[in-house]
Amino acid sequence: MVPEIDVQLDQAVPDGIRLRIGDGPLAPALRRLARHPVARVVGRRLLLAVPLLLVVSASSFLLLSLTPGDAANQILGPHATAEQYASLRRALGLDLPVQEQYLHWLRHALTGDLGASVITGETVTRAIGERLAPTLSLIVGSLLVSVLVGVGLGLFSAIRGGRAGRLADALALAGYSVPAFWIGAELIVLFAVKLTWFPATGYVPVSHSPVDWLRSLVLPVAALSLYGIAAVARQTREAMLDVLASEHIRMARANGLPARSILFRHALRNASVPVVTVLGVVAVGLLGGTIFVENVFALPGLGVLVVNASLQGDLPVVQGVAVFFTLVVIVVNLAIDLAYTWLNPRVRVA
Amino acid sequence: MRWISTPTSSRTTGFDDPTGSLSQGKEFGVRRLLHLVAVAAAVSGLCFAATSSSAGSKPELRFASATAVTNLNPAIDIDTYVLALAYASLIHIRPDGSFAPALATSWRYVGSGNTTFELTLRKDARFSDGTPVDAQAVKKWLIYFSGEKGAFAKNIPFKTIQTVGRWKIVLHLSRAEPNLPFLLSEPFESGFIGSPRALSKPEQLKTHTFGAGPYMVDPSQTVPGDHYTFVPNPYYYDQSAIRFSKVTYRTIAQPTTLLAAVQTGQLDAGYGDLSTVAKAEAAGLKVVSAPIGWAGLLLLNRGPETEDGQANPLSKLPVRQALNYAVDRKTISKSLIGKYGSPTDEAPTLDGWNPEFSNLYAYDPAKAKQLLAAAGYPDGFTLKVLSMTFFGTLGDPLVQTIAKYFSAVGVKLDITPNASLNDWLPKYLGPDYQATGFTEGPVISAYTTYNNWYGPKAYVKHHGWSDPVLDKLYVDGARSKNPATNAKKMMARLVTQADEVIVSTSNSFWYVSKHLGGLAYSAASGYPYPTEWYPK
Repeated sequence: MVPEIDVQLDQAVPDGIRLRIGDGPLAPALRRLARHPVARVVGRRLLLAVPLLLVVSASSFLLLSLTPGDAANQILGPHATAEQYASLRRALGLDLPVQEQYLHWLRHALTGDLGASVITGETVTRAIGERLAPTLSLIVGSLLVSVLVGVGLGLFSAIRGGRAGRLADALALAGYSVPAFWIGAELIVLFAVKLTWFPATGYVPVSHSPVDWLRSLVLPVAALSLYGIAAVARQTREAMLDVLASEHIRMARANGLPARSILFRHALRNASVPVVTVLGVVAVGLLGGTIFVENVFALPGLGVLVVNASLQGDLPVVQGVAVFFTLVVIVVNLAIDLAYTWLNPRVRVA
Repeated sequence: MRWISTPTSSRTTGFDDPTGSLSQGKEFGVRRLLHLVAVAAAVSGLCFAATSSSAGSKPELRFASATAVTNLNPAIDIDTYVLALAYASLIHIRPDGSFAPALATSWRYVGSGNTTFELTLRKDARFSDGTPVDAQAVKKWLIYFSGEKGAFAKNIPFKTIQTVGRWKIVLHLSRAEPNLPFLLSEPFESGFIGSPRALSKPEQLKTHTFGAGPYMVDPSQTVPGDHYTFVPNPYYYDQSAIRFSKVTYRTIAQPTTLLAAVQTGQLDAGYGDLSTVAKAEAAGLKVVSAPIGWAGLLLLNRGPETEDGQANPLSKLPVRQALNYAVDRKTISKSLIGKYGSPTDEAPTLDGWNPEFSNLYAYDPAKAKQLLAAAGYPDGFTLKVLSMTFFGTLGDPLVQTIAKYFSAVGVKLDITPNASLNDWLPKYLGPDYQATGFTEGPVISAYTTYNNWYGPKAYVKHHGWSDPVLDKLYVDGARSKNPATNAKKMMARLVTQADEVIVSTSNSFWYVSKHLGGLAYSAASGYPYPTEWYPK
């Protein structure tokens, strides 16, 4: 009889869950992996993702079913008979009770089949796939800009203080105050219509032309990044001020360490933990921001897809995108946790 | 978004170390910031320097509207000016509303009574899958079309469809229909014929095209609901009419973004709206416009009782007349629509327009109060009203303005706004509301108007009543050789009965690049069809 070893993953799974690793050839490697702090973080996140996905999918299904109208209304418009509406509802399965519709969707979703749009007939996975690139480009681009400009502004403000610092603060605060859709429209007028530097609308796939891809992203990324820049700059400044006032920095200065080393090896690394936290929040916020920015710049992304699907009562698409966005949030949180473990050794030990 | 707070008790206000040993930090920070700016500027410059160009002897056509085309099946979708690219119609409607041969070279009513219609097909037309467009194919498609669930499916009351030889088809109708050439042309899609091969698997009609038009959709360059790319149909019977190497239709929901795209040359044409037309004109764009619709208040419940069992004021003619006298159409039309609308109390139709009835109810609040008092409502009443918020200027602002005028004669409007068609439609079809703000377009025939709203088999019997006089006018007119006579009488009847509170006509707008010609339309054609456009 092959003995089995219980490995309690206290840090990796919710209370009371035990994973049983057998005594096969992979068992030692699995045991090592189970004890690894990074694996614990990943395991915990992945296990928590399951109930989260269930809750999100069920609640989005319920919320959409509570709104007036449905896909039959959208398809037929106002000039149709009651019989036509009823017939189409039957054909689309919209006459079934909500829980039955949800369970039907769930059964298929568990096999990887997210269904097809009742409006376009396109499979949901294909619809998401087609629109993923613009949204991801937008989010990744905005995150990069938020980090580069936000950290830069935050550092500048913390280091310089005075008028220049206050100016940097003011710029960051402006980012909070200006809505992305408004600044987007203004950017179009200035940089697309008047200066003709960038296209006013649309998305060019990177495979078609990397340069045109970049051009198509400049204005939407600029509009979407403002909030992230403001958040990162404020957090960087606050964190840097705290760290720079701490004892170990005073000691470093007293020991004559070079300023660059103090700033980037000691101060910025310590200050980056709360900044990373903010980045996680910003990344999730960007998901929502894409809805407005994609709309203003007419980008064929997931934000526009889910808004249109909601307005049209296209349940399968709303469900699919909600699940996808939830997965993105889970991945972002996982990345943040991993970043913590890299930045802060105490997390690894814990 | 939440802030991640950090302790602030020991912070300094800047990196101003008392020893001064870190002064290099200032220089470094500035340098780094300048470096970042330089990199960003370089990227911008690189992007600016790059331009895209297109190859090919024929140019591309790019146009857009706010409408998200989501289904390419003409038996379901109603975006006729997009589908016309791929689906040739049996009869073509020219921009001025006259008819021209398309898949059918000739057509006529047979006998009297407008119940039999004969079409002779051209012999050289093929669908984009290569199948010939013959009488059997047309018959098969029309049977499919009329059995589908689309909004236009029941417009033509087919009884039987007969083929005579390979190129002739005879439509036998269950009731008289005097406007078949119109119904078989582009605006109603009934004349868009698809290949019989597609009907073996109709689901594919959603994402692929099977028409006999000049173009066909290229699914590999298409994102449903966002943009559709059409490429030339090698089987189109008039290759000289294919003037573009590629046609792209895009959905741009934001009117200002659409305008910017036309201004910057990203689009050759765009379907504009009231909110941007003044800017488009100021920017020097060519604006093509036609009076294709009307706006006002539809009175949904004219039955004797309201839903809660109370006497329904709208069942009384003097009350409806009072509501019509209560609104100052000239002021409303001028303030909301400007030069792109005209005040009217008659819904414009293609065949029933009566200029003498378009201002029957001149603004007269005193008379309105008098009529209300005479009808037993000296203190007015309250109406539950829907508003189509999603129509912009002709949504909430229109209903709120009407409400202000009604309020002056004692009639209060309890307004429910609706953000989307999906939100509005169930309430509109349900019994709870007595009126709705409404914008209709394109303009249609008086007979189709009757069939949609007033006849015994109307799509929406929102009035909860019947008018035997109107019914008789319809029946007699539909059978006559000169249906326009009764069309005018029908519309006059609707006005004198104060069936609605129509306020103004309204135009639609297209913004057109100077490089594009042929974009023209009228109330009769409803839309400009891109099959007519050409590069300049």
